[in-house]
Amino acid sequence: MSWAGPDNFPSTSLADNLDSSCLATTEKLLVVLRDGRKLIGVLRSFDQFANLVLQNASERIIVGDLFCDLPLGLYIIRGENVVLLGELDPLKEELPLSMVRVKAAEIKQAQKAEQDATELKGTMRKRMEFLDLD
Amino acid sequence: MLPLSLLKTAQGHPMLVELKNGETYNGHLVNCDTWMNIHLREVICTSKDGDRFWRMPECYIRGNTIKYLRVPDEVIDKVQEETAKRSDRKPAVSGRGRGRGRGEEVVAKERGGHGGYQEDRGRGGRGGRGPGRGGKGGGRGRGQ
Amino acid sequence: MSGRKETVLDLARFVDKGVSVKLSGGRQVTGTLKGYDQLLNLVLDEAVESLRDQDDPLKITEQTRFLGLIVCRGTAVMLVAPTDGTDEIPNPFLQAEGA
Repeated sequence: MSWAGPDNFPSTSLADNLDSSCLATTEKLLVVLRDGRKLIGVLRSFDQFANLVLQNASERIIVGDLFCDLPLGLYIIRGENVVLLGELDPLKEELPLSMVRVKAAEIKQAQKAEQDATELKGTMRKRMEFLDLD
Repeated sequence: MLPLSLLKTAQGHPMLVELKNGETYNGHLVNCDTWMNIHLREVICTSKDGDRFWRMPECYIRGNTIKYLRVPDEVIDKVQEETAKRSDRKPAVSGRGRGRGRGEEVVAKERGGHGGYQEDRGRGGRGGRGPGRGGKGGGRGRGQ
Repeated sequence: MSGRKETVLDLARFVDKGVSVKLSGGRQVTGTLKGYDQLLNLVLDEAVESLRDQDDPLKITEQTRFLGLIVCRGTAVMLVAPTDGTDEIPNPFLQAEGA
């Protein structure tokens, strides 16, 4: 890629990242979406709306102290859904050591359990609404 | 290689589209535009909680309801081939002022929608500026 | 180059045919497409809204509500699909996942 240089490009850091990632293809980025999803991948391109192309993307699911990376492939993310975009330091631990990596099936199960729990909490709250707790 | 040019290249390929409301649509991309509006064929729609499914022969999705699209890995190789082909046809003009060029390329695309003839005339009408504009947009695309 | 909306989906093919429209906010309407414009404003005749579960607005129910002749505002239209050939089906991904 032939960038003319950062001096005439306003968003230099994103562009620099793009440059290095195109060459090395190892620069991993963390993208957090508005729905709370965390995607990790290599930034391949972006545009003025912050639409992103993420290659070799995987979704990191964290439930309690369990986590799992689900490999999902090539993503085009619509810019307005991006909350943050951050570089991952390859030399540092991404997560605390106390966190355990588990298989996809296990994390799905844990996720389901968590969802059911919050759902139950919601319905309980609704049923108790007449008490005017707040 | 802009995100939308990747999407354009993905035409005819299967893809997964997730909407902001959590519904997902699996289908083959027929067409798309600069607003990310898309037309899919042979679609399977999945509800947010993933327990209901619908089959539909085709559907049109407004771009601004999209959260993300998952496209096959090989499309990114194809987009590189295509940009290489395009640079064979037209020799590269040195790219300058990329930051603004980005926006202009989208504008140029929208104009292009009215037909090649008008586009050509438009460029000619603008005289010296015309070729410069084309050069900027094209130059960057090829550079990657 | 397809810069214009109507080139992405030619709504003329759907005129006088049944279409199902999802609107932003979650409503879902089916009806006969009578007209449209480039902003995706739609005229639907004999429109029927699929009502949603009161406790869970994500779930549509079997209940419907007759609306008659309506205009769907283009900016609120999220999705347009023909009713013909649109059916609820059992999970088509199960075999794929199991394999």
